[in-house]
Amino acid sequence: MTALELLRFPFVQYALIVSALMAVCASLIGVPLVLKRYSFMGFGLSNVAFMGMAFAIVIDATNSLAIVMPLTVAATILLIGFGNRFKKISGDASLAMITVGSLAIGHFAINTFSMRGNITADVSETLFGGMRLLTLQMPDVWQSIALTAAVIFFFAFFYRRIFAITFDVDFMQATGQRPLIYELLLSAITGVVIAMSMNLLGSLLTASLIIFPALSAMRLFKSYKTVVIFAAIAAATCSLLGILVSILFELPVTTTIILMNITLFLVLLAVDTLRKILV
Amino acid sequence: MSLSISDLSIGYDGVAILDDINFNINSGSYLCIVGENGTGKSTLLKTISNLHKPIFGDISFGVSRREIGYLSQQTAVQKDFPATVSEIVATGTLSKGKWYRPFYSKQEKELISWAIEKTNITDIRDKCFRELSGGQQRRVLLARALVGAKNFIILDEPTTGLDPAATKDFYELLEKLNRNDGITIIMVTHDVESAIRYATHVLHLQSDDYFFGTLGEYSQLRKGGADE
Ligand SMILES: Nc1ncnc2c1ncn2[C@@H]1O[C@H](COP(=O)(O)OP(=O)(O)OP(=O)(O)O)[C@@H](O)[C@H]1O
Ligand SMILES: [Mg+2]
Repeated sequence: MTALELLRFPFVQYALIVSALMAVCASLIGVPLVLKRYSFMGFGLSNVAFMGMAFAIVIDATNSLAIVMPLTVAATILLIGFGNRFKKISGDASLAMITVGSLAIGHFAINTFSMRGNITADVSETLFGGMRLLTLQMPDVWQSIALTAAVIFFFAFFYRRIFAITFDVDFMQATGQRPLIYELLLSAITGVVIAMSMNLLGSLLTASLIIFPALSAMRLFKSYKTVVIFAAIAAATCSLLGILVSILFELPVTTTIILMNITLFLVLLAVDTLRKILV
Repeated sequence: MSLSISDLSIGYDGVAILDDINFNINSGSYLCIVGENGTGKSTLLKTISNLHKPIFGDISFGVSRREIGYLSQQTAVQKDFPATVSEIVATGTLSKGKWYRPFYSKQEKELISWAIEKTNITDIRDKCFRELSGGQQRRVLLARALVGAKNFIILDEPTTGLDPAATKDFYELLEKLNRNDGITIIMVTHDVESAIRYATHVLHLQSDDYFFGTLGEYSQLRKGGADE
């Protein structure tokens, strides 16, 4: 089977569209996260989403997002939005606790209370995704189109403020602006994206899409605008390629996409290093 | 009156490190805040800049906070930030821009160019911030402060990590802005000798007391102290 023939299947089309769109969303929120030294936050929050998903499985919820979304958004706002304002426990420690704790609680809940048969499959799917991505329906496609439109609109409209809160919150505060509003807004959107992405792609791919495209872009580009644009394009491209390659060669889909992202990062790292040596 | 501090008490968690601070400066002044390590210089500046809550007392500017420029100490995040000089300077206009406007206006762009020229960074305006020298980075942040505030700038140890030549350049740039453009300056600094030369007023913090006066009064006091 060639890649072209594959494209005729609706399930392949859906997977391509949804994964590319979610990649754009995750990489867009990834740039400010990585720049603010919150790279690990993506993973921590994906684990919170995992815990939400576990609860949803336990109570056999028809709409798991109804549980995952509020939980993840609340955790994101607490950790990122208010994180650096109330330093009772260090950010690093609280993040580590949340990452480990939510994974443990989620796993415990599924194993102890779930009425469903195949627990290992449930856990594996929630963490690593795959099945879900290849069995998407039209509503999933519409959902991700709506989310992507909202995220892109938010980024375009508040582009200057997102840049400002990433670069220097104190400057905004000292000059009579209200950075907290934009920080909360950005973290709410971050939470929504992570919840959605975790639901469709699994938590590991979600975390990868937040860090790798942003880090790749930072190797190559020198302005914030180009970093943001390249991260989105790179993320979408890796997802599209990853899906086609994984179906053609019967590889696990989400980890193939992650490996694509890692490869791109390594190539750009090599280019950047060579450039520095040669110049 | 440009800045007036009355009965101000600063500190952390309700415990004051300095009490009952009172002073006023007029617009066009150049105030240096000096003192030993740990006497509260940074705390005072943060309190004045609205980054830290005062325990008690009033801080009033003759103008709105949005008219003030602020040059913070360099943060870790900024060191390897992928952004061009003009992108960073441009954010100085945000304090006055309306939240629902997504782009910079022509007027704002002119203001940005003006500040870039004032701080002599025209030749590096498209360069990446992380590839600049410490002195150049400080000028970029000064340009950003200038864009937002043409008449009041607050700086926290702006010359930390600069070599003597770059430090001198930076102080001379500040002096020009103060003398020629009438910009009020408040600066915390460690190197008393070279910095206060340019000041009109000095605030010297001590562990539980402070001195505030003109540069002349301060020099007199220091000379007197040395004679004893
Ligand atoms: N976040 C904080 N919480 C509690 N106490 C603090 C905090 N930051 C500073 N302090 C204390 O407040 C006092 C003043 O600190 P501050 O940083 O204002 O001094 P400084 O004059 O700027 O010193 P330096 O010259 O070293 O920069 C110090 O005794 C310090 O221990
Ligand atoms: Mg200090």
